[in-house]
Amino acid sequence: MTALIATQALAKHYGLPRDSLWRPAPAVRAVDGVDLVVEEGRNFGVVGESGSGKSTLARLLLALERPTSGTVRLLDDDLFALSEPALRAARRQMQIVFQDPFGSLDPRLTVGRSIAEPIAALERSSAAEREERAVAALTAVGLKAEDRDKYPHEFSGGQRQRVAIARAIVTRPKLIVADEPVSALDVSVQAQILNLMQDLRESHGVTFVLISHDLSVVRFLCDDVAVMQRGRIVEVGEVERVLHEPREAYTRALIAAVPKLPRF
Amino acid sequence: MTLAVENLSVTLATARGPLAAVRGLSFTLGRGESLGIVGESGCGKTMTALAIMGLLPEGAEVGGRIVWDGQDLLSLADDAMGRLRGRRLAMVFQEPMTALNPVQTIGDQIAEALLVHDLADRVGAMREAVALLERVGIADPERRVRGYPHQLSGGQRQRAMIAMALACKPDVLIADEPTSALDVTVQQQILGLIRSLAAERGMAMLLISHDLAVVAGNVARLLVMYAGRGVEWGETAQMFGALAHPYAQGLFRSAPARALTATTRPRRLPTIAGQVPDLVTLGEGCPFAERCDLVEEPCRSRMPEWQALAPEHRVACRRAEESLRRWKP
Repeated sequence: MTALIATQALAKHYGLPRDSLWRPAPAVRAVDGVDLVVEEGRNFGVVGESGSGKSTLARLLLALERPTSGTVRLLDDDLFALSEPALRAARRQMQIVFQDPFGSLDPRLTVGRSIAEPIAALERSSAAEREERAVAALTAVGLKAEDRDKYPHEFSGGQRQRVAIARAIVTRPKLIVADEPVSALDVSVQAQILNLMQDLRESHGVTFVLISHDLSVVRFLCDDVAVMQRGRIVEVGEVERVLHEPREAYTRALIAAVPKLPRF
Repeated sequence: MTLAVENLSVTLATARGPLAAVRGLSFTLGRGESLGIVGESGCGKTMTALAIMGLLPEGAEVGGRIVWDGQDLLSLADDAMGRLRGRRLAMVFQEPMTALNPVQTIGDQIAEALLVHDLADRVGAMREAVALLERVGIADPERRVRGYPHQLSGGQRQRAMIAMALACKPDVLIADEPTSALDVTVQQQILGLIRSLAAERGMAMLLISHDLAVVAGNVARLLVMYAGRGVEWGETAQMFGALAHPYAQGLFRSAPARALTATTRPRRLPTIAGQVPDLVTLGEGCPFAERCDLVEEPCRSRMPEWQALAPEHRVACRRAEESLRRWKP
């Protein structure tokens, strides 16, 4: 197994406004000393409540923010030690899918253009090649080639999330960080999107880092899971082990809180 | 006092023509009873709640009757409805940040309900606000009552919303996705709070959600809606034991929550084929016909009659018997 992405003592502190002239300004330790290893081909889930630091962790993994301290290694590269062009090249290997498919697509661009945008930004390519790859990505997520000329408002929530996923796979990344990708969707649509992500892992060799508050989603899609609380990882391990034999009280509380469907 | 929704229809005007958001919906909710309405976006569950509260958007056409306390709420004048709303019928909305006024203190917003309905004077209303915040589980209520919504967490805001809804001791509480914006750990606390308050005060409760798992443990009866129609109604445990409508079965099977309790990890989640129909062009037949694997020709042209499967269990499906035979929860 090769480590696809790994962090070491990763921390991100945000300064708060001073409340006294005589004391140092307080800081929020959003991510506070995180070590984790995501292995290639093994989907990795990060669970925790709002404010536990999971979305900040996602932004650090993708080098969308600089950490206060610590490192993120993607394959052989130390992301925050790379030059600007080298970082740009590394970005081809990683993409993100956000929670809100309404807010993450530009309403004035056809979805074909939205999907092709990462290729234009990260690679040298001709317009014809971009078009062809955008169509290939659209069909890979279960939409039609003709859909490329439509605008986001012409799609339902689930279809928009498909578009966002098409945009994420178009540069053929090894890693996709998905931040609550189904929590804004209806239950039956969630199942469709989760199946799609499962398929892409096999057909495109993508490894997902799935940020979610929903343990059932994590169990379905992930092999390993880290439980975050107040910026720290309190428990990490194989999903089945963590769910069935949780070692930490906080993990047990999270599992107990999930609403269960009755069984008869 | 029973709330009876009889043959309710809500039609919205859109650029493409009239959209039938709710069609021929009927149910009753007696004093102290609880009913969960479950369905996905666009099934009409929120429009039903808004119709009961008299809060439908401008231009919405409404038909049928909503009878409560011997009067039809739909034919009440605005000021008469205004006297009931908030006082006898109260509602908790999904997103507490948009439902609360950001520039008014929590206490003022709770007291407002009591003052508007002349149930207390200013001092009494504020005292009551503190007591309510305490009852809904907000720590340090004397201080919080002077605080603003942004100073509260999401769960606390939803608790404040509940306090506000309860201020006038309403007879009916409608909660529309009250926990969708909250963390899992907080969800159960809020639902438990609503349920115990309803029991303690003999309130009737209407709990609306897209998530079967959220509703199932908290209501005595369930109504499943699809594309503006009620399709299955029943006593909760009875219904889960014998879910009969093909859509209700599909909704239950596709829930990722089932992946958590399954003994082995599923490779794929079952899904419902096809898409939700367009409510502007939808015809008179069963709205699920196009996606249903048991569909027969008559399903497409006429909405099926309700049939009783048990005294407390009814379904609107021509193929209920066949469908029920394959149901294994």
